[in-house]
Amino acid sequence: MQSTSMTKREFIRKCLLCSGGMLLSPGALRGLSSLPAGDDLWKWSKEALFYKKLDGGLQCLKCPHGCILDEGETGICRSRISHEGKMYSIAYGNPCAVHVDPIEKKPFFHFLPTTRSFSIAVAGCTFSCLNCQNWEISQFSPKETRNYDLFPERVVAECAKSGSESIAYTYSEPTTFYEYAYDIASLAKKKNIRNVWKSNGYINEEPLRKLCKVLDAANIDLKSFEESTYQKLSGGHLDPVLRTLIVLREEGVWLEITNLMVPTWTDKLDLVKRMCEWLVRSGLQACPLHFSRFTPLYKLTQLPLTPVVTLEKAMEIALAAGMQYVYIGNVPGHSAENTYCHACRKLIIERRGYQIVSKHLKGSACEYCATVIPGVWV
Amino acid sequence: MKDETNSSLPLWAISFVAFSLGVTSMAVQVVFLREFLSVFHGNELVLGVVLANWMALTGMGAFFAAKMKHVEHPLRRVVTGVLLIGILPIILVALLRILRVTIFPIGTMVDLLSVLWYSLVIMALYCLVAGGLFTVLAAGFARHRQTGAIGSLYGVEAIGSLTGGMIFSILLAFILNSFQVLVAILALNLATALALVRDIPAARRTIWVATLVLLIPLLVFNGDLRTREFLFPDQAIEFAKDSPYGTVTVTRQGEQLNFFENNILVGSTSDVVGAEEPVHYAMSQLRNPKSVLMIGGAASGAPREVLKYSIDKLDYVDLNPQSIQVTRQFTDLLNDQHITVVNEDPRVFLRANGPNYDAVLLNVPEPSTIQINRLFTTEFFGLVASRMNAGGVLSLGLQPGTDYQSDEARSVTSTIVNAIRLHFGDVLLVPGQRTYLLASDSILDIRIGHLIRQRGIPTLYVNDSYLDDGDLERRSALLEEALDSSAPVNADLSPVSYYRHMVYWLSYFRSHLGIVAFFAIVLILLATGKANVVTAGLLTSGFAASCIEVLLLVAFQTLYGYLYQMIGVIVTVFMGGLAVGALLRPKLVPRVSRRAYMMAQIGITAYALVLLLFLSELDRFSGTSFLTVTLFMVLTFAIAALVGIVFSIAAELRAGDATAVASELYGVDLLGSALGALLVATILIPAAGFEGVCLIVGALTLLTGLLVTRKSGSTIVTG
Repeated sequence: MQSTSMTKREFIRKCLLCSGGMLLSPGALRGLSSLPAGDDLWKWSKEALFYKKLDGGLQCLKCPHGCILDEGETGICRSRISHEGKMYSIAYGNPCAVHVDPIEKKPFFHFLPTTRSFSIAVAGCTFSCLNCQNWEISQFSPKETRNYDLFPERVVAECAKSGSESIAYTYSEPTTFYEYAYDIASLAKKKNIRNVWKSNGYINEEPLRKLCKVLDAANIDLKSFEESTYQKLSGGHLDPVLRTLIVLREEGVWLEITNLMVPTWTDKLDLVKRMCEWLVRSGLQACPLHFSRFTPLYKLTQLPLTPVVTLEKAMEIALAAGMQYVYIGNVPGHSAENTYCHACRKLIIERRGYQIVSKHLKGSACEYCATVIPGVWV
Repeated sequence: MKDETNSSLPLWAISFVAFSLGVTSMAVQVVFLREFLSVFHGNELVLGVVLANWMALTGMGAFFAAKMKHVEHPLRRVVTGVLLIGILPIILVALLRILRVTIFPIGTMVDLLSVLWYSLVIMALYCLVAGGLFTVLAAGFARHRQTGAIGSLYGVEAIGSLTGGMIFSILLAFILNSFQVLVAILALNLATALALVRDIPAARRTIWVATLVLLIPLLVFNGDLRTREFLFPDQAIEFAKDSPYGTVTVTRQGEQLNFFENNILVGSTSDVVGAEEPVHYAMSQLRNPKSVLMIGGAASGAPREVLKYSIDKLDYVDLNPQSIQVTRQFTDLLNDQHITVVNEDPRVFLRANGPNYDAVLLNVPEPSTIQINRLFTTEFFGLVASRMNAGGVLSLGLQPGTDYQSDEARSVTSTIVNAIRLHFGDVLLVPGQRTYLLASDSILDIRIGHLIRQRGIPTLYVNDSYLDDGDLERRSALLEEALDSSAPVNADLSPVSYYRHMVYWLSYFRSHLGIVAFFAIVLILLATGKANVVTAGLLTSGFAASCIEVLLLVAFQTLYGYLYQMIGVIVTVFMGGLAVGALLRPKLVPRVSRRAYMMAQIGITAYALVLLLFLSELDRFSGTSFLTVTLFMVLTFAIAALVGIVFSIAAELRAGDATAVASELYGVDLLGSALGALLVATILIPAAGFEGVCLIVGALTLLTGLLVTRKSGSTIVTG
């Protein structure tokens, strides 16, 4: 009769195999690796705005993800944590990137051109874009990055010291450090320092409208005009971003839009047409639209650069649809970096890189036909 | 009527099939590895996982075949196996390419765990059949030869691998693409099957029909191009060629040409930034540069930028002849009287007598493999420094520039900077689309915009319209502050940059080397399922063989550069050693005993110590070319022969049913090799260095050698 018992060696082997398998399951790997070190609050925390208590935990109301967090859990953005019945942001006063950039780099072409912007970011993001340029910040928690100690008052002071005319909340996703950005912006506004927002636009309406009270300009990444692409490329949804564009316009925040044309993902010209038609229908025709050239980055490394001719065709489509100001980005030396009056089509701002070579504006009007050129001009 | 397909095979037929199996496995392995490295990321992690999967699956095939009833006699079973190993590879390679873009998002880099299961699924059927076929053949062989059957079969298969290696890895490596190799393999196996059934008309007819149905369409229909198109959606493939250095593909989108190596973009015809950054950050430092050396990356447009300076000569060195060919064929970047193109390993080029340079522009990818890492070591920088004019500048590009540098990224940078600092007085980090490292004995200037304007060089991007010198200075200082001056120096035999880059690459997926460790544990547990002192010895000797083969290959490259043909010779000599060891063991070690088994393993231990000595004195050998090459061949042959002897003795020591013994020993040998393939380049070399690996290998084989003599008495080990 065969023995049915297991030997000690077999038992140990099976246990090791099972536990290793569990350890390597995607969920386990994700769980193990995405928790910030320690779930206690730290110096750079502040009670979050926009959340509510549910029976099952706390629900964040800042972005459409609507994460519900149990005690000690962090959200998708890795910047919010549930602690003793309250939700806290752990992205307050601890930026990991602080630079001074030309405003055109964001890009803003119609907002305080040739000025400098004091640019900050705290780690975290509501998306997980496959081609993220700053994935070393966006895909990590503030507890995993090397940070500065820079609370709002100091940010404003440093901005002033640097001679910058604005503070840019950028590099990662500023929605994830909302409270920090809001407090900085409120202080900056009092000192006549402008506030600009470079964002994926994935934010709920209430926090957005509150933010608009202190914001002067926003550049929103409209990554695609197709819901399925939004999900696969970024892990988000299209409609909330479109809603953000409308709200920004309603609130009078200066708006510029960036569309990164990723080959095979977001370079379908029929979608570009639909996108531009929607923008025009929604009253956004005066918002500068930047078609940006893709370069292989992060996980999207097996694709080519966007052909320049694709960007040029997109630009033609946008202009034909009624968009007034359309630019091509990441193609140094291209004439589509220049600004042409939407009425008379004359060259009114000639750019080379981030410099303005010649300008034909009288105040905010075209020097040739006196048409008011939308924007916030120096 | 007797079913002739159930009859036993004659000895010549078994030997021929074993030989054919060896040829097939070698060729198919080369193709599979090339394909996986091409569609995924071409680093040692991916290579290690795929190779380990290959060996583990083949070993498991050998194990499972022993469970089949009447495994040793049906001709039908062997013929089916032969046909399958001929037909499957071409189908699987097509699936590999097509499913790559179906299962994973288009254009994405895939994480290691996904590579592991994807390669497992793709290769499973072929490997299991190939492994099982060995067991079936061993059973048949044993019916004809009572002693030494398994060892002899192992030797015959090794001769087949040697032949396959010579034909497909050396002679035809630059001529045939993957599909053409697999069509040749299909033809070989169809011919083998026909030979086996030459006395069975019905079977012969079936195989002839299969030959016509399969071979002719494959010869007519360009399967290689059609399946490759899946990997490049919305692009027209203008050129695609497999080579030992990787797959070079050129695609077109309108007027834009894209140049890919292993499906990674290395240049586009309209990439201004990619063309200017590698050149102008460095060359703007020089008042009057006359002679420039550029290593790699011509397709990016960089040579055109170099010619904007009034130079006398530009030497362009590229290891990959295909890269040079496509650059010439599709662009005029190398057509200038000032440019001399050299197809050679850059280190070999620099070692030879030649002029000194004002600028050396290293325009290659980051040190993501041991091979590329050779261009980022202190030894290489020393070579560069010796060929530099006073005040000359070296430039190299690292990982993509970002607004924040992770710990992993700065760790890689630190090891390279520390290596450079041993040879150059000033090092400057320039934050661009990539982070660039400049090095010189003169003081370097971060005011790139100012320098370009001063020199009057016409550029579209690298100028003060895009670059603010103040911002560059700030960002450069931040990069400099983040460096770790205590980081180890990247060196040929201590490739720390490559290892840290591996960790950096894993951080893309928030992953870590634990996956490799776990996979290794699984392999160990599989191999030790029915552990005994004989299989333990095979496990460690298989492991030793894998590790030492890699050490020898890398050491050879360190001295001589990456010469594919010579590497093919080393692999061939290795196979030859295996065959000789296994086949001649009865003459070399006539009396099989535990003691003989122990001595064979201790022989490997002794070899590992000799190798350690050799590697530690590697510098002494660089000048004596012929002697050193011969020494490499002897060392390669010796370890392989030792392993062949170990296998042959193990097969005699291990009493029992030939089928069961063959499956067990072959399986364990392969699992040991799989472990070595997985661990040596990913963990062992980076963690322990070359000399450490020798010690580990020596210790393991000593341990298992001594274990053999623990039990006294009978020399025959039973299950």
